[in-house]
Amino acid sequence: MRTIPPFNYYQARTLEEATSSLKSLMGKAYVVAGGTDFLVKVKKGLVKVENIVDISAIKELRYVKEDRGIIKIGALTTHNDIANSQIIKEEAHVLTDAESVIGSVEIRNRGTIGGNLCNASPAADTAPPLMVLESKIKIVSQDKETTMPITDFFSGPGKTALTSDEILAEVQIPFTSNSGACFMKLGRRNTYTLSIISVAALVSLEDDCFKDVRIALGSVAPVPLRAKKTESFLVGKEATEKWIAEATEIVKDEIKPITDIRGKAEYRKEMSKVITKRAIVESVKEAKTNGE
Amino acid sequence: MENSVLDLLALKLHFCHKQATMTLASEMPEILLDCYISTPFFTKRFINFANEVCCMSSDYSRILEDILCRDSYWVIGKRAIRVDALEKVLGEAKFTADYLSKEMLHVKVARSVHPHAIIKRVNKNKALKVKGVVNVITANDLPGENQIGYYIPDQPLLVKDKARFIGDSIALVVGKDEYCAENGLDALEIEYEPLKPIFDPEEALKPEASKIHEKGNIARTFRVRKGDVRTGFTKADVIVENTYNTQHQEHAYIEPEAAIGIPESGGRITVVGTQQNPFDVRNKIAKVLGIGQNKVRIVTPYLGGGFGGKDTMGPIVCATAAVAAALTKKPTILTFTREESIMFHGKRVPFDIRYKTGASKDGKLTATEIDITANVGGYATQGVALTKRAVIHSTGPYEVPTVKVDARCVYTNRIFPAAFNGFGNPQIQFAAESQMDELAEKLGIDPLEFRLKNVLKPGSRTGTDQLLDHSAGLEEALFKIGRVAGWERKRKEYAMPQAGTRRRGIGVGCSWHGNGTTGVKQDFASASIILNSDGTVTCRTEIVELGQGTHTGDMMIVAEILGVPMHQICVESPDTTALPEGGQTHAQRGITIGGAAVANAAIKLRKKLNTLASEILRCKEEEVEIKEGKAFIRHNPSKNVPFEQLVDELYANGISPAEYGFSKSPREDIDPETGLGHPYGSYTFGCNIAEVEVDIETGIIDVLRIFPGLDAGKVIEPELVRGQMHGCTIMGLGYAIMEDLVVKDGVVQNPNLTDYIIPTIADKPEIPDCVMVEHPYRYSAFGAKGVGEIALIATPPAIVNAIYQAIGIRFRELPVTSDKVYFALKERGDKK
Repeated sequence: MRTIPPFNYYQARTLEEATSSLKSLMGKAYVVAGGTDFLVKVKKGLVKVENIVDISAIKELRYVKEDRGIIKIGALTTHNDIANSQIIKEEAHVLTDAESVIGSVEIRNRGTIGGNLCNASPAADTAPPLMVLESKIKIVSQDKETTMPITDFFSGPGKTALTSDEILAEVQIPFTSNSGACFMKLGRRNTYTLSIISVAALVSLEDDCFKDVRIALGSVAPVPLRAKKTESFLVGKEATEKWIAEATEIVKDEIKPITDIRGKAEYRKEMSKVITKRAIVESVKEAKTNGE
Repeated sequence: MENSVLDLLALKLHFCHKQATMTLASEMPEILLDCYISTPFFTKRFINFANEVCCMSSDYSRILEDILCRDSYWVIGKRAIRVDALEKVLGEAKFTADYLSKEMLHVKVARSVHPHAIIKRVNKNKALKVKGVVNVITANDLPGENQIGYYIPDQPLLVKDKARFIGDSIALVVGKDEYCAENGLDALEIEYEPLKPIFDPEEALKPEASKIHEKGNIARTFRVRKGDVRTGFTKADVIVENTYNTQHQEHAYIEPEAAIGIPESGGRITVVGTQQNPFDVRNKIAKVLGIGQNKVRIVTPYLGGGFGGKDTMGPIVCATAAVAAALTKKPTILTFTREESIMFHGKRVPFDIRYKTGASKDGKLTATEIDITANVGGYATQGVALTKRAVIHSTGPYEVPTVKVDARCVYTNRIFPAAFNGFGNPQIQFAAESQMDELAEKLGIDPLEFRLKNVLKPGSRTGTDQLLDHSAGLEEALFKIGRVAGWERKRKEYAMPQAGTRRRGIGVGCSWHGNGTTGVKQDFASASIILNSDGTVTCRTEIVELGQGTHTGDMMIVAEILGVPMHQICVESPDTTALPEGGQTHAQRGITIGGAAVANAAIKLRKKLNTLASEILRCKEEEVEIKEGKAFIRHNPSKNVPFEQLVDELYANGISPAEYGFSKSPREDIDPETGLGHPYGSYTFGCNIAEVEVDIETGIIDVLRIFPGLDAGKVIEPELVRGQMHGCTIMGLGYAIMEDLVVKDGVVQNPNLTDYIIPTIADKPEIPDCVMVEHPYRYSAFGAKGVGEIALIATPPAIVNAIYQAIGIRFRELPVTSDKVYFALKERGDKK
């Protein structure tokens, strides 16, 4: 292990302390929560650290609560907190399904939803479910508080819309009624695995036809993305395997996968069809049950 | 007496090869052991012979008859608590890095960043000026011979002129802590002149290829010529010829490499490290430091897995720590990070195999012609011996009348080879067993039945023309495992059209593995037993405990022979100052050969105890029984003397309460020209049946169940055998469908356990109870054979053959990952 050059360490106990530190450091700081991704990068010398603002002790940012039809999740809520949350299981189980297969138990106990999003890995398993749930995220700095749709948050591998004095404070998930949803992940083994591809789908039906279709994919482009063309193709169509199969021919052209250690680009393209189809079929099944 | 023994030797000619017997004759006491340590059946045969023919009213035969000729044993074959269970569960067991103390210096290795380069200059100055750097060591500083090669002296500890792979060791930086040493590495100036690297053996074999080593790019060749294969193929009604390719596999042991060197007074040195071969390590360190073997002490800690990797790496890491400690005169520790471990320790060697097999209409094999190219990377290490093992086992466990094999170990600029569970055998059995299935299909014979028609059994001759006169139970194991797995029914069921997106298949793979070192030297083992004055027993073995459980087996052997309860016995790890030189903990030799040495020592002590007990109990020696911590008269157990008192009497009577044990495997190396001979004393046999389900939309293979079967002779402890079967099976599964070290321009692309994936518990198939048939081996303790590698070897072909039944596509390149399956289905036209 190489020597990590000295850096300044600030521990924030409140959100106010954190944003104030960031402001006074003029943005030259890394915000650290669970540290499951960040510390690995530091040890490998991939990031040069001058200042660290450790927000892991901010108790006010660890919660799951319901507020007038919106589920609010504090940025420091761990993956296991979310996987075990009853309200999320009931109202947004597609997120539960993704959260319960992230990394390992140890990672899920330590890693946070905010950290997972801010790390902005194209393979972040929390992103596709949050995208189909049309979640918003609350961003806080000393000067302002804003919210934005999660789809606008990612700008590239490891890059987000956050400016250097901002902190992701909360994830907001609106209730979706009478819908069916599904998260599916293809990995190289059955657990402890990074996705070759992950898909979240959410559908609602009307007279056996697609009324609303939302599809999001991970690990297939520089950022997690919504398959808008595929979605609009399906809206109004009958919810049958035939139409779903046809739609998945569109999805493979909406993605831009690369070949890496976990999967070849061509395989990812082919699998985007299979996994999307399966995720929609499962979602339809659930939507039908929920609609009865 | 001498004549009698020679007569006995003459009898052994029925069983052994002549030359091996002559070697044995020079070790007379050992020949006695050979008869004593065996199972009831064989022992009786020999004891009868000894008594009747040789008039050997020897004390030994009486002891043997008493102890070993039993229908059932006191502890052997029953459940036991592992000797290391409690300390490991409590976290008390010490592994190398647990001995780290604050005073220790840390050594780090400066490694070549080029796969092939002339080293023009190493400038230490800047590194030496780095804060906390204590010393920088290059080849020029080594006091002795700069050589660490395993079988061929081709590998310097620190390269001086030329680097042959990315990671080749150039210099050592010693610092006050790990950080200082790393900073020193960064400041070290190494000037290279890069040469064109060669990664592909085919390139390396071209006449115009640059020479990686002075003597050329072929490290060693091997051949077998048994009968005339041309005639063999003319007798064949079907011939199958294919090429097979295998990949690098990473050991991924839970404990990465580590070693501590401690300079002692008088120019001596002690080394604690992750190694599976304390005496090889000692001998190599003695050479590198230019001192006598008696000045180097290797203390063996517990190991967090080895799988052969620490057999290859042991001498390298231990010598590195020893050199750093000796030159700085301070205790020094070397530890590898996980990344260093994956990038720079040797790997399972990739093989390119051409395999041609012929069989007659009646389902008998007539000929095999095999060509193997092993990519041994920058240095041969154990690549030579493992290729030799592959050659010896290349026919599979079958009777093949004509055999032609050619193999070569080719240097390239890749990572060097390491011993790895199976040792060349998984590669070749994958090919051999795929061929068997293809032949069976062409002949229209069930694959299991086809194997049964050709399987090696007592009286068979192997591919190297070795006569197997006993302990060859594959036929029975195969027959039974077929029953247990429901082979016939499932094979028929899965051959029917299957609906949905999943296809099931069932496949079989057989394996055989010679017990003992495939090296050049003889295969001997050492042990010692001390009876302490309180009646407890200290047994020391040459065998390293790396998780396999051999120490527990040794404890049981000692308990059975001495009649002492198991909890009164401690089994100690090897210490080179406490035992005569022995062999390595590899090649399934721990119990087969190492255990025989332990039994040898125990029997010598039992003889003394029997004599003494007969005097105390006033009975004949043959009436003495020792069991459950008491010596008693067999027909009158109430007349007894406690074991503690018996040992006390030994001391009081001036009889030495300690003995060394020694054993040697009866074998003869293969002839270099013909490849014929009997290279192993015994073979363990295995057969696995795998059931898979392939998702034809994704290509994902779900291995549902694996049924392992084996003949490992007499089973000393069934649960330990099961543990080995499960572990090996899962490791074989990883090799078959998951694991692949990705190397680009000589650089490992997945040097971590996120990207280099191995099976997890969630990937473990159902493994129903193992079938263990017991065909005891004559020259081991109670007839036991090794089990550490057999199930791994049988697993990949079983899975690949099952995949073939499921989807009708044969994969001849490992690993069979989901994308390969998907695109193979697509290519066949299953998909649009």
